[in-house]
Amino acid sequence: MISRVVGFPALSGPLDIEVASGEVVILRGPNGCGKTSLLRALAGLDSPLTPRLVHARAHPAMSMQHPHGALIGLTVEGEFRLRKRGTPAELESMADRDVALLSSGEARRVSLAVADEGAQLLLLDEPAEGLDVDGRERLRMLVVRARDRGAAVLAADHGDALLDLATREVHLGACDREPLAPIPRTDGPRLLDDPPLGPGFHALVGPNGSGKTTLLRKLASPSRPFAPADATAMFTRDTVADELSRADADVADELVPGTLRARHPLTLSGGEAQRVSLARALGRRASVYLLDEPEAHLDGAGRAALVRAIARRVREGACVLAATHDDALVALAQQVVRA
Amino acid sequence: MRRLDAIAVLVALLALTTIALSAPWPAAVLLVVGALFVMSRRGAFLLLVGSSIVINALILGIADGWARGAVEGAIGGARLAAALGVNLAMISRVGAARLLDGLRLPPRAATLAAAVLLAAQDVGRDFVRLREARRLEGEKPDLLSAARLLPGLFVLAERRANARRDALFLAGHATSRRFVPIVVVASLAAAGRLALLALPNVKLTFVVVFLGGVLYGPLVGAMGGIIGMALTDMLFSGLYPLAFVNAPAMALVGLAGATLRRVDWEGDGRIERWAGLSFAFAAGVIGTLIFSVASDSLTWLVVAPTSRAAWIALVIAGLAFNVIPAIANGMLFALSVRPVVGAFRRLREGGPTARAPMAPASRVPSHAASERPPPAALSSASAPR
Repeated sequence: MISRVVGFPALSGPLDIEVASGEVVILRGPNGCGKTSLLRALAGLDSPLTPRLVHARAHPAMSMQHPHGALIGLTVEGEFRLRKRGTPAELESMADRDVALLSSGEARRVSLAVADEGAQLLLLDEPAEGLDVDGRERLRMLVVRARDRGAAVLAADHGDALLDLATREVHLGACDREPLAPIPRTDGPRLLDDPPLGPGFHALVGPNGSGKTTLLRKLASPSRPFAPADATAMFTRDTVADELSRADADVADELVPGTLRARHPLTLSGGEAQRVSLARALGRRASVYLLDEPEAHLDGAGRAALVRAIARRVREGACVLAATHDDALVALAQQVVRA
Repeated sequence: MRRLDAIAVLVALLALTTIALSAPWPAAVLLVVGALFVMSRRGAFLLLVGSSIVINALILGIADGWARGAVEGAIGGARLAAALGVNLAMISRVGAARLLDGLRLPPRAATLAAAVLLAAQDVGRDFVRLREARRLEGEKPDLLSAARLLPGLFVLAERRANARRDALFLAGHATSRRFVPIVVVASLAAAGRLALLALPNVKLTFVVVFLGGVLYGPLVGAMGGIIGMALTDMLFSGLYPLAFVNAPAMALVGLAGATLRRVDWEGDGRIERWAGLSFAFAAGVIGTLIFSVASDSLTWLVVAPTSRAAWIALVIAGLAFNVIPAIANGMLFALSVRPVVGAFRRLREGGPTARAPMAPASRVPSHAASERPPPAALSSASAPR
């Protein structure tokens, strides 16, 4: 047994997880249930306030939720030098790059390579977020390597990227995987010129670093609400209710549970913050909505609520353009734009 | 970049800066022309060269007589522009991050420098996003709206610094108790130099370092100011000598902020609050003017070190030029101190502590001052109740 968790204060129900050598365990749970807190406690970063028992009997390595924050070097090569390792062969081409200027997908690739240091306990916090197809394949290879050398892998994830490698799933609270409702297809006059798009839901796809975010930011304006990939840096007020003061109540209620309204936006979990950011953008009345990786950090219910909110706006004749790596969202798109 | 290459770049910077400041004046002109060829933002640099020559010629012409003084001032202005130009050109070609990385500093210094510069980039991005969020809500960008973003920026910077500390811990690097607050102040100071770059001496850096002193105390305020300035001086201008006046002067601003640490900004004591606000305003004004005198004195050392009249003229002209920026800074200091202190308090009261991503300034995780603890430490610290 490499790791054991019995009870955890951030979680509502009883919990007893044992993770053995060679196991790949996927942690699932609704936004804000405490998945990140649990992984952080196992990594030794936080002490739970009222702990029961948290064992990590092996030296842990962790890939954090926000990959830029997990890097400590100035360049990719420097990142590995500070960890007394050489730059991995697959990152050799970007060894000289300034870490701060990496796209979020590129930073995720570096942070996963950093976590691949031969640790016996590998903790991955939403490791597939922001990764393109190639990046996901590399992530899978990392997990397979860890499993084959007898390490235990504990990954908090809402998606399916690691599902077939998992020896089991652990559910921290109710997390029904709601089916995504179809988004209607509509016709109408052109609402965006470059790319030329009319009403409907459109997916912007492309590999990491191809400029999807840059394009969306260029298109954003006061009349074109924008929800960025890193939601927290959009919050400027003291409560979630204040952040949502300009949003339509129906969209806000759909995406943001009432229990979050009194919270400070910067104390929310990644998924909760994403819900508030999406409600802020989709809650406004506009003809064009721009969403950057809107599915990031969302649980099943959150993804279903996001699709319902998009469908509502599309039915009203709006154009919703979303940069995404999520196959399910791409499948719902009326048109796929390549960056 | 290899260490040898990085050292060669530094030596070249030092040599070119020395030539610009002390070789016969045609060398300075040649360096200006060379820098112009290498640089990407030629228009802005050309404007800087022109203003540096004209302003110094004008001031020294008045002080030392038109014939001798104006020529001396123009040559001095060209020297300063050449020194800045070669540094900017070289740094922009090589890349500051690559250069610093190539120097192979000791791990503790390297990780602190990286933490500050990475957090500064993060904060810069946060600033752009916050400003964008405001703009997308229809707010017009101006000085006051930029100042309104300060509380959020401090809170986000602390969050980024905490994440960096965690990453260092996971990588087996020890960090000191003051690592997070120093990174917060230094990174905000660095990021603040880019924001409002167009307005001379009205920079968020001043107010950020002052507020760093208010929030975290004298040591963090002073250290944050020094580290933030020294790193960005190298980042922006290599070994350009004028830049390095900033670092110690900024430490004084941090110390001034620390004197207001005990003021109860949200309590009932109106007199205490008003006294605090007045002091903040005065600190902003006086700090900017001291800064002006220090930087003009260094200009004098480069332009006309033998003429006392030139020093007086440069200082008086600088003070006159900085009256409005000084008042603007004073107002920024006074207007921002309450909201920032309040934002910190509200954030710490605003969510369940177990989920709050931010640690209070004084609360440092058990691992922060030590090497990676053995896993057993975790299990023994969390025995069943």
